[in-house]
Amino acid sequence: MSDVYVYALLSEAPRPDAGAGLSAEPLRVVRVGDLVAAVGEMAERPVVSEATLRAHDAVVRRLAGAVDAILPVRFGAVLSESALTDALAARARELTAALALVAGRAQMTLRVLGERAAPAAPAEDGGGSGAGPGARYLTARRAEWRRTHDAPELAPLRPTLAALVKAERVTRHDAPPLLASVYHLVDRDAVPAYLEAVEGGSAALAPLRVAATGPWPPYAFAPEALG
Amino acid sequence: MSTRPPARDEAREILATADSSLLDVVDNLLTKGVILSGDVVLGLAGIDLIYARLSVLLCAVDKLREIQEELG
Amino acid sequence: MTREPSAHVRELESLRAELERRVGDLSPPRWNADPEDVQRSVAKLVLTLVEFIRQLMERQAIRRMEAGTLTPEETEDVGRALMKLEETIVDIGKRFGLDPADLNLDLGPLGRLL
Repeated sequence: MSDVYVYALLSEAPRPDAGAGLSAEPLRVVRVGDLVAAVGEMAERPVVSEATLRAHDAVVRRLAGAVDAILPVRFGAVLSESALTDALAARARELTAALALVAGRAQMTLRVLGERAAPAAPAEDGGGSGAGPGARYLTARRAEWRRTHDAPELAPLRPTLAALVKAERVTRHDAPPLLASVYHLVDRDAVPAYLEAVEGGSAALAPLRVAATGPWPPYAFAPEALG
Repeated sequence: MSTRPPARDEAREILATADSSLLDVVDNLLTKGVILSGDVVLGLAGIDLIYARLSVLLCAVDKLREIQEELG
Repeated sequence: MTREPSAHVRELESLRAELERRVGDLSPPRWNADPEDVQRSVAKLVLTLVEFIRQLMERQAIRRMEAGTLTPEETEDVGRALMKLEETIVDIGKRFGLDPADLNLDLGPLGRLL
């Protein structure tokens, strides 16, 4: 049996069928418990090129239009069907939870731009007075973890975005003018309202700026690789 | 076994001239999305010998506990 | 939200540079001992794996702190153990001429660890 290329994990099989993949190969589904994987037969990983990347994205977008919940798979996932089944079975719980989170939703990407990042939240007292060195260390590590997963620059936008943003992921770059990439999960029908809120609030961010793109299938809301 | 360059090098080539929409696609497809291979190939003297499937071994303890509780 | 063309170009360039840094390889990471210096290769692999595991455990400990499922005693004990582990990795590394910056295993799709 040949290897398969995996495009996305779905909550249900697309109807009437899954269509064709990036090499025009017919797609089919592999079911593992409540998870459905959309796959195509493929002997080896396709070359990374503008054409193959855009084709993979087009397949994922088409699938996203045909189902309620979709978790896009990273480009280049070629594996045997048994390896796929093992991987999905091992991570069934977190993948099912992630699918529930993204159901009916799309990703909006905000690039936070400016010359200077907003100051991080002030360092908290390490576990209260009398905390030992271990607790202080872990508290400091937690503060650093929070800093790298936070976008304080968006504070002025939070009031208007709060009702629209169902989940957020942040990648800090801190490489001016690119300070951070913020990924927001919003209900599909709330995308216009989201764009309006960002546009309307952008003046309040000055001298910082944001550039919004989307909607995208929810690539940034896949669970982390190793839990 | 393919003698193609590693994917990272192919990606760097297209990144060099990518327009902003392609940069967004690269961000989504090559740094995000579900990763299905958490494995490693171990070898000696340039020869691949062992393929270790890590993806089924690593699982947070909390999750193990949840599963144990469910099983009673 | 209009921006000057040159500002736009700078923004694109910085996103391009960031993606060049972050894009991982898609195939499984490979470790292949250097026949000229097997000891150092082994030390490097071992320490990188231990550091990787240390970071995984640190992340999980922080999650438990956030979730409030660690007692103050457990927080202290886990914190100390992580500190010690970090020191140990640096110390053993020094004996093989390995700087923490050298412990950067390419984890394939997961990108560079550190």
